[in-house]
Amino acid sequence: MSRKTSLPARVVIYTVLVLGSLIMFVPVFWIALSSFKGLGEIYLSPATFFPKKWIFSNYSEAISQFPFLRYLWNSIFVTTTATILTLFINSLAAFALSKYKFPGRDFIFILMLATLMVPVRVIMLPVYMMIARLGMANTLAGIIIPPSATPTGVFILRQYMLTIPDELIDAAKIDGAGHFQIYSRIIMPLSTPALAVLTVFSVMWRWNDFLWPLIVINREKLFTLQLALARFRGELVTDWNYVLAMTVLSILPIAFVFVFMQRYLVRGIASTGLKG
Amino acid sequence: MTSARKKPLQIAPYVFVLPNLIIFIVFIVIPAFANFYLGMFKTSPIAPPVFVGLANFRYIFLIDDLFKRSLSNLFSFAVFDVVAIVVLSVVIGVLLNQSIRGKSFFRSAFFFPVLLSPVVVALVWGWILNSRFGLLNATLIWLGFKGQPWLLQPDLAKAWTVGVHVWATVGFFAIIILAGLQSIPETLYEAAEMDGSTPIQNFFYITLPMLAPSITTVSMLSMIRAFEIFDHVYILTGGGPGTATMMVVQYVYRAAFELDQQGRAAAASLVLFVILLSLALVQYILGRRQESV
Repeated sequence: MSRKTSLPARVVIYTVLVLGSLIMFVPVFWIALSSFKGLGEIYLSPATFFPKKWIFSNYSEAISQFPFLRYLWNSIFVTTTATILTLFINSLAAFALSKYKFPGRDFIFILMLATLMVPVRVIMLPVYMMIARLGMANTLAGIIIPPSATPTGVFILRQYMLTIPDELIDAAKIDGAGHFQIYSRIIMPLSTPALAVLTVFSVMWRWNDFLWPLIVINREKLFTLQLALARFRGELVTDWNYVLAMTVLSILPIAFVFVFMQRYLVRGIASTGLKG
Repeated sequence: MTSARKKPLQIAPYVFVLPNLIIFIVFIVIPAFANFYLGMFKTSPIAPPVFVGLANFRYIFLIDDLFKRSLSNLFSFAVFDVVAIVVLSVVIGVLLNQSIRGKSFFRSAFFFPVLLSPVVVALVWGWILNSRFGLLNATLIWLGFKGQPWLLQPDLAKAWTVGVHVWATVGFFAIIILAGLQSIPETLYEAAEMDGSTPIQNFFYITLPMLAPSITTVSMLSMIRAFEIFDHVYILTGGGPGTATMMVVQYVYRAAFELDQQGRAAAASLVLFVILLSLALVQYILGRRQESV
């Protein structure tokens, strides 16, 4: 908006915005600072803001003391495989639903959208029983597979693919392209913007997911970072200096997404109300 | 391809939807029906399931105080959470929509907690609110006030579960409001200003009415998400002190995976399912009404 605001109004606006930003930033900033404090200083009452003495070894020791690298690897593995799987099967389905006419198409599409009404947390017990019956309890596959077919993913990809002109497909067919070639050589490259939005969201969903891994996994070897961090909840006996360092490390990939992918996130939220 | 040319039945599209469809059916459709079935059985770790009809529902509603408490905790959480989110997201959206310097900085400031995992959010705030070692009480003491047992006193803990959840999610909703604000035609304001309308009048007579669809979206989405609340609260308070902040998803989790009361867990999750389904229907109806206006 280009309308002018009066000086007192501007003072109010900036005051509120600055105070608001402080409320948003300070908690995380303080935790980041505290991750450089020694254990003695973390348990100081009242708390200090800046570390009196900066202890950088919290980070190196956290990595060697806890199986941090294992948790990190589990999280990375779950996030990447789940995202690739999600992109692949959701785009295949979206391709069929947007570019083919076949008996049962509308029924299948409505069935997929209807599953939006049934969030996993409402059916966590029967889904877990299904996982257990299929031998996927306590496996990373058990975390990865059930939430990989997402109705929102199919929906945004299908809406985007509908805008790709059919003439391109007809031309490719004349050139002798098969069904899968049309998908991989024409539809996928042209759907990059929608795929980017889904990628960013899938990475975030998976990296941050807590309840579903909590249900599926109870062997520490298979813990994701979120599970490992959550285990320390409310325990005052643990080495919190290491946990704080781990917390900060777990934010870094998300910070990367934030810096480089923010526009996809904002676009996704603004246009579809996609869950952040 | 979507043209009406005569063709033999194609197999390709079925092959393409198959992987997704199998996962949907195996992990959503079948479990959703199994939930109804489970709700009508009594299970125990040692004996086979016994059909009990609606006894599980009778138990959670009439006998188990904990379910009623978690339901009432959830409703009061949702009401405060939604009201706070609607008001704050409109305030933040309107402020971010002014011609100000540092707009993208401020927008990032309000948005970034959306990306943090609920676990991280709850750990961070757990430290801030810790009565002995937390930043909040240290600040209060520094200012000459007394520290408070923020998470140890039931009403304070309830308030903070709302506060922390709002902190973590309001940026997401502010983006929806901001998109709504940016779609209001500038000419409306120009015309109103020519008629001598003040900024306050503009807000109440142009901005708010034009923003109604976005506000509806924000209220409905935030309400659905409030009713699904688990992670933030579970890690921040563990449902405590006592059961002051235990919500329905935690009740289900506890019954299903800690107490082995699968029938009761299924019954409780069906109650939640009905709530969420009604909210989704309301959202759908409101959405259609707005489209037809």
